[in-house]
Amino acid sequence: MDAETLGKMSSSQKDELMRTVQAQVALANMQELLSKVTDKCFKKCISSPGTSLGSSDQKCIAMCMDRYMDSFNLVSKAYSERLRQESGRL
Amino acid sequence: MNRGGDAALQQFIAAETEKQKFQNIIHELNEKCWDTCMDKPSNKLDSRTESCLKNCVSRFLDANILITERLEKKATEMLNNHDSMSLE
Repeated sequence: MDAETLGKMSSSQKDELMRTVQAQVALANMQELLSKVTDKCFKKCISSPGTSLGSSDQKCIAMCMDRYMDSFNLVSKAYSERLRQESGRL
Repeated sequence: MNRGGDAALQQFIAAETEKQKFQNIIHELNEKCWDTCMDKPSNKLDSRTESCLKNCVSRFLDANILITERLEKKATEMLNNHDSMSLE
């Protein structure tokens, strides 16, 4: 989309564009999380793939996914906290 | 995007870009710290893993700051001695 097209947009079209951008960003984050959780939890839980996904494998994957999200939130919190401290020091 | 009416839109895109950069850093950092700290997943994050994750974030940032400072110093040294411009 070029500058001219943007200039001609009405304010409701701009609102629409902002919502679309936000939705796409959220989707991209979910996809990144999905790919990381699949990678990490496959490694943690499926050490030797059998003929089917057993119930203990399923339980492990479910727990692993929950813990990965806990970890993500914790890391996010710790990182933001540190950023706040560092910017206060300057 | 140079008209006055687009200022809000430009600001919005800049803010979203910043937020996204932050999210990407967290994705990468969480991956590193998960690999370093996580044992077999259990019912909840135990306190040992929690403190490992927190320390992992802090030490990663310490390392980043230290490397940045050393690199700055080296760059300054290199600029000050043009004759010995080599990456030793």
